[in-house]
Amino acid sequence: MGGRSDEQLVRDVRGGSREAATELFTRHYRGVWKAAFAIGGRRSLADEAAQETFVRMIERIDQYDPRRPLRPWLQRIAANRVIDHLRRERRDRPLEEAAERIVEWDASEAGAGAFVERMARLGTERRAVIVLRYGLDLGPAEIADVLGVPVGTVNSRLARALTQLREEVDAHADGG
Amino acid sequence: MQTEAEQVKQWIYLVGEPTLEAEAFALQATLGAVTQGGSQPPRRAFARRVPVLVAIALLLLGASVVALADIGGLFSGAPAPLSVKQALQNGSRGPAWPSSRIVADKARELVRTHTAKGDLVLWIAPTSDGNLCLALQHPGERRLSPACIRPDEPGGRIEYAVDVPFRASKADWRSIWGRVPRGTATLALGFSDGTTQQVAVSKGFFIAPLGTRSPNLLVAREASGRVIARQRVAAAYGFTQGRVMMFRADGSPKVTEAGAARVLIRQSTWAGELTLSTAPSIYGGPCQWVTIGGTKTGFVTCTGSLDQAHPLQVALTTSGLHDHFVWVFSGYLPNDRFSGVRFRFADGHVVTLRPRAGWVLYGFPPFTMLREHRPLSMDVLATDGHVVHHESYASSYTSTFGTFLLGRHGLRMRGWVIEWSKTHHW
Repeated sequence: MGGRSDEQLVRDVRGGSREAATELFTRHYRGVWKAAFAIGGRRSLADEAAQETFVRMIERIDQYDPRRPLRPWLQRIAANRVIDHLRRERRDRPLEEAAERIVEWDASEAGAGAFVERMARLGTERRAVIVLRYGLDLGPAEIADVLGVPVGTVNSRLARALTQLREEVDAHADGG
Repeated sequence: MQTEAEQVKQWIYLVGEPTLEAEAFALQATLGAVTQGGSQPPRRAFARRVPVLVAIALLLLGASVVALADIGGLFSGAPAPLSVKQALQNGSRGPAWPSSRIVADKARELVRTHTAKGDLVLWIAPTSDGNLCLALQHPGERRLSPACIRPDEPGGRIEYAVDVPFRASKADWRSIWGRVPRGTATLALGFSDGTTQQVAVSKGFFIAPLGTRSPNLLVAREASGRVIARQRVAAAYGFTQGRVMMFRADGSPKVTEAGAARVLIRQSTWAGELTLSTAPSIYGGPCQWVTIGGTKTGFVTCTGSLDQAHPLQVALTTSGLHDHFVWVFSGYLPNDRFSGVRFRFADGHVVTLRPRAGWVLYGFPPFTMLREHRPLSMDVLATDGHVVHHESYASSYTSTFGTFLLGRHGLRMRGWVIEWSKTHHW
């Protein structure tokens, strides 16, 4: 079982194989969940988004081109789901709640704490662009597609996010 | 730019791990979609537990007894249809009220309110020992999760509960309902952004759909506008749906007073020390939460009060990270009415928990995940020793473990469980 490619497993899932679906899930769930968690910052959000991602994978398995790598496709769905959840929350919740900075990331790894703080300070929109660009290796056009914004907006958000990250690094260095 | 890219990649790798429980739910949903040909994804089981958990938020303070004749007015609404009676009957088979039963045949409509999604209906039924059970029915739902209260009027306080539909995959459909003090004509919900929502009161009860909003204040007024009751809304479990419950580094929820945590029960487990702690909520009333190895778990209850009207609240839950997974049983059992909880296992072993400050906590040893050691039943014992509630785990408990012991990670964990069991015994 373990030697089969994603492509072969996808074909088996199309044939209704639960075993193949379990293998795909086992291979990719954690990576997808981590991408969702990195963007959304909340475990509950990552849980929902990752679960929805795999259900959608099954629902849309016929639309997937098995010659293309599976993980980026899944991570893109997950990113979309997180962004959709956050959009809905921002629409429905009072502004002060929506602006609430939420960080549940694990900062226990040595040296990761400062970076976690910097990523938290970025805010969701800029963080999403950073994660999609440098974490998931999506191009600006693909990011624009995920976020539903023009490519120019993606580029400007990316530039501002990088500036902010570097300023934070500099400030951190200056502060000792 | 290479530096940022590498940093981000490394950070995503280290950002955290999903819980085994979340992974198991996701796998179930995925396989469900395969089985159903991808038509209807199953919902997380979390949502099904929510109505039971939020019922704990029902506040029952300052009661002043009224004549039973006054209760009659509550049963003047339309008789409940058979489907509601059956749902009430089924919904009452939980441990919350072991000493009484709902008389579902006498169920009536108490309050009905119209929403864009359909009608919200609050049903009321008496219990065999003279209490009242209420259940909010969301549009299109057949299952009900009744919360039972004493018939006493709430004195100067507003009693409330937050309810979430069984089928809600997201927390965008919550409602608040409850009972107001005598003489109340209107109720206002206050929100953190300064806005208010007026709610109609009928026969002393109210229903208000909330969506994703969470009120932080309730104000009951007479017809003249005079305030009868004004109280903060406790940060109950239901209000954390759709929002994150924030924790401090020591695992305590941030809605509790800092530095006020007190450990009620400790137990050593394979995943580290299991603790049940308590502290006052900043909104009033106590919070209880469970930590494992000093870190937070998903188990938190915050209520305005856990008084004698709630004779028993028990929960079997899962906590911990990958490779450090524990089944945890926790419960509230007032010492003056209950003497303990007894588990019987397939290998003949019996474990009896005695409440400490009204609470019990138990982390199941890992070998109880194996079929030959699995728990078979739970008995709740009254102070005189007789069994007031019996619950079998023959299917639910073991099938849940079966889920977690499937797949690549599950097989590894099963290996550890077996190895661990060779050197650890009762």
